[in-house]
Amino acid sequence: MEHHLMFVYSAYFFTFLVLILIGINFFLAFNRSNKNISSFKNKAKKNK
Amino acid sequence: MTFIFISLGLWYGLFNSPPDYQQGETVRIMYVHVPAAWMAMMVYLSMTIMSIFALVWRHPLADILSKCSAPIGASFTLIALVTGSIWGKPTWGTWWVWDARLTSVFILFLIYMGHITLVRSFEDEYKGARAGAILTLIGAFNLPIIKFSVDWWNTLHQPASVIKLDGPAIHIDMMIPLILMALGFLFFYFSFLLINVQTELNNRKLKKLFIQSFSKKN
Amino acid sequence: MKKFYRLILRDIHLVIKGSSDAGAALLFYLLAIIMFPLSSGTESTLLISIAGGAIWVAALFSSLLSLDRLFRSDFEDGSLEQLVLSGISLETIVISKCFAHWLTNGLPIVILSPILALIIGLDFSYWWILCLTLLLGTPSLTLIGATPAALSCAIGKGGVLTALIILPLMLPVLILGSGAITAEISGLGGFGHIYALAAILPLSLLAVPFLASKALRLGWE
Repeated sequence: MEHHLMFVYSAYFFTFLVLILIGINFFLAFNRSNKNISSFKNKAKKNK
Repeated sequence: MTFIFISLGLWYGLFNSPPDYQQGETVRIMYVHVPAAWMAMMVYLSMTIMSIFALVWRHPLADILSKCSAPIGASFTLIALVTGSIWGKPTWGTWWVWDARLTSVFILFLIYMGHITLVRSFEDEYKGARAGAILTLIGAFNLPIIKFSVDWWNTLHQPASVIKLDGPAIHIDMMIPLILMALGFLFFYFSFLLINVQTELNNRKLKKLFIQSFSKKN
Repeated sequence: MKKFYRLILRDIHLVIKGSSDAGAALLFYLLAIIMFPLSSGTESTLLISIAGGAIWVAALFSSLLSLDRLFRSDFEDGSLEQLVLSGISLETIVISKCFAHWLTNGLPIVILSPILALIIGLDFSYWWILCLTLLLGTPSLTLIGATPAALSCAIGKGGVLTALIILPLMLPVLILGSGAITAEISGLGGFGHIYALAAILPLSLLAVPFLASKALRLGWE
């Protein structure tokens, strides 16, 4: 088989791109929800 | 939890030296394509089991697990479809063909997307998660179609060579990176499932606190 | 058993009175099929090769349209709750609604299909396999679409989302149905497909009442 390395690279690139992208997205959502909860709890404490 | 990430990275790193590349470079795509496809099906299978738990025994965590698994499963399905297509071009000469396995995996992707859309279109997340469980069960029949499609229809996609009744038909040198990648993907699923579930629980609690704060002010 | 028949009769009455869109769905079936020869030129061999599939696609869309309303009107005005409260099990109601839907949508599709095969240019000696696949397939289409229709009651709105969910689920039936016709025409024998279609029917008959009832109860929570 000839040099189809380009295909291999693009396949791996795509795979890891997707995984990293969704990983980052999930991570950011997680951090955001944590921040929201702690800011909410702080607000509750301040109001008391 | 980051521990799991590190073990992921290790698995991935190890695969990068597949010892046998005499068949030509394109076979290397198998090391991402096959584990991705395995994950796509495995995630849906676990979603089905969780959905049964959610609907029959009303376990409170079950439908959250199912809801949060869906985006990960959809991503793996997408990876499987695209890497399969990329692999197909040099080996079969075509980007896509409507053979049984490709079509049924594509249907799986559509079911995943429908699930994600359905669950998020409810005002009440609890109802949304339960509706997702119902949808998962309907779509579950697609799974055996995927698995057995390469045996029933004799078209383009290669039939099963790893999990057969009389042991794997694939060389051990190629098995190792394959299994390593599969395990890596598996850990990816587990770790991000946990993160997503925690996010979902946080968001639900947030909503509750928000509503409570209104009643407290009065 | 009597209650079952009376439920079916009730739905058919509603159709005849005109307060459901079963007739419109059938008209859509006709229109959709007519679109194919109009868009691809009347003499083309292309049309003949896709004729069986085109009829199946039109059948799919027709049932898709009428499925949306399957439970919704009864759900919204409360008559579904009344039926359940009067002691009829929800699963029975689901099956009876599906059967009534098939009688007013699937069965006419099957009956009309030979005529439409003529219009669209399908080789007429194969009309029997067209009818057979549609006969086996349309009940499955009704059943498969019933659960998302019930889910759309729980959501409150529906429309595109319901169609988005129903269509991938119906695709295997479509593939098997039109595949049977193509296989028969090319001489390979379509009976494998027919057996698979025949297998889907009892499976969905078992699973759907349970799941659709769950979805309806979800809407009542």
